[in-house]
Amino acid sequence: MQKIDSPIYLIKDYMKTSVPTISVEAVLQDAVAVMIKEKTNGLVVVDQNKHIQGIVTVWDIIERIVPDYLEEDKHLASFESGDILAVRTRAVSHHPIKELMKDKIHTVNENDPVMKAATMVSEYRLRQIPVVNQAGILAGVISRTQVKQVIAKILGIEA
Amino acid sequence: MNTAFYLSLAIFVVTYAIIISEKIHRTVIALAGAVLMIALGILSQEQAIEAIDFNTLGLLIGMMVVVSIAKQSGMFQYVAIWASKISRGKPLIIFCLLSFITALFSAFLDNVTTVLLIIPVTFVIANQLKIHPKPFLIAAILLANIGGVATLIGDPPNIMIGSASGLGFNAFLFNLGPISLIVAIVTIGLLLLTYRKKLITSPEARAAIMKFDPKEAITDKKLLIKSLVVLGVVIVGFFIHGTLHLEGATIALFGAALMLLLTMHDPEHSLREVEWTTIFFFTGLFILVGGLEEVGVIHKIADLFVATIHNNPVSGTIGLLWMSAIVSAVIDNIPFVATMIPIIQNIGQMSSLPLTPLWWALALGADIGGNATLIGASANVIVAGMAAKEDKKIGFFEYLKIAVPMTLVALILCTVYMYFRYLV
Repeated sequence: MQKIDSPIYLIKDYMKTSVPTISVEAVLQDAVAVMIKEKTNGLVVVDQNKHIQGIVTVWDIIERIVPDYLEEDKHLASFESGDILAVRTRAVSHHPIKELMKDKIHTVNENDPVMKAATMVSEYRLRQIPVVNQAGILAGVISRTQVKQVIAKILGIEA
Repeated sequence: MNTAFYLSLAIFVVTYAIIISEKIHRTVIALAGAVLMIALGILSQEQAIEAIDFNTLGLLIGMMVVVSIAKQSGMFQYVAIWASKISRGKPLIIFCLLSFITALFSAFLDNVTTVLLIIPVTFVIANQLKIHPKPFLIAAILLANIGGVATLIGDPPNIMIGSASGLGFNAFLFNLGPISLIVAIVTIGLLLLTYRKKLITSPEARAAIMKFDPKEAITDKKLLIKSLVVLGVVIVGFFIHGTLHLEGATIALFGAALMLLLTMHDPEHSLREVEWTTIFFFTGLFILVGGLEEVGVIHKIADLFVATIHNNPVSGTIGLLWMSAIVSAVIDNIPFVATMIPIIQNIGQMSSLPLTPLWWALALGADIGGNATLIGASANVIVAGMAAKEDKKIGFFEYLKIAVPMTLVALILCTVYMYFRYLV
């Protein structure tokens, strides 16, 4: 019987270590600035000790800008005054990240197998999962892209 | 008087005090109080179930299902957008039409549903007109409560009163419809006087409103047609429910079943849209009041009422109107009306007072009194919440300054109406 080599792939070997972050003390417009600069739609929110506080995405920012009454009533979008986007964007530009971010988030440890991250991606449809090291400090992120790279590797597909 | 008498009264008073304090969710505390009535043997479980007015619950549930599906078609938004367009973007006319539409919707939908539909449109129109939305928001509160007076299904107190008194849909419409219309016209007039200087816009803004295509509000044409059919059937059903010897709940639940059949919507989702917390709140209240009735507290209060008014229908009816209004301005009118219903039934048994005017006085007072303060009715609280979210907070006293005079005028109109129609 041929022995199939089935190694355990660990997150720390595949995670992306350069993670765009934003301070938990920052405000909405700071987050937009970082997102533009880093060409990303999601940021990990950290305190000064690089402990993870949450995630803020461009979804959260858009949701904050769109008035609640429009979100509740899908029939009205085409009647809203066009200048409301600018008015609302300016109005919320200094809202604290603390209030925007999702603070109940899933994280994984860098020593966890990639399978754990893959399970979370599949179960919760997560786009990216922050990775922490043994000390609980942000070490990287693992996203669908990294899981895909591991799948390709298993299948022997060269990049 | 025995222990059960005082025990029942104590449970009732403590429960109501906690409901008013809002320390615990009203549904939770009402259910807890109700179950305590049974657990302590004041009511048997059988008696408790008999105390629940399933006609009221069925009517509420049926209408909630119908409306929650119908509103997805965009028909209500269509009407409001259409009104602003035919006003040619003139703010004063838009203000009047939107206020009338609010009252009209509210006569057939419950007040909270009405404001949840009308407030988003109001924000959109006010943004286009570059006018502060506050006058529109305050008008929506006042007119939602005033419009609710007009029909059996307009406001939960009316549903309860109709169910307990046997007064049907047409009786409500013919007796409370006219005064609701009068109060609506006078209130809109007074609001126009108050806000006329704020209701001014630019030609550009008017042009933007005139570019509206109301059809864009209709997101589901098939659903619209089905909804119109069901609403038509329900409204005709209410008009003739007396002749058909059918209760209001039967009509509303028939509409709900028809709506679910026609749309084939997942019932799981549609039934979840029913405000079950409200339904259980009513259930708890009916049992609590049933407990009071069982031990004779209600009878005692009725006795006291009859003794105070010396069989004088004028002071009795007008007194009830004002008392209902004052109480409803401060506390939720639903528990108040739930308690008053058996009291009035007892008054009917022990005196020769004409009962029907008392029912109208209770409905008018409870519905209109809720306008006086920002916490007087559920619709008020909802609008205040929506306004605060958009940084357009309505202050408690700011509202009071406008609403108390308006409510007083409305109550004086009601007094005159009641006097000349029923008491001379």
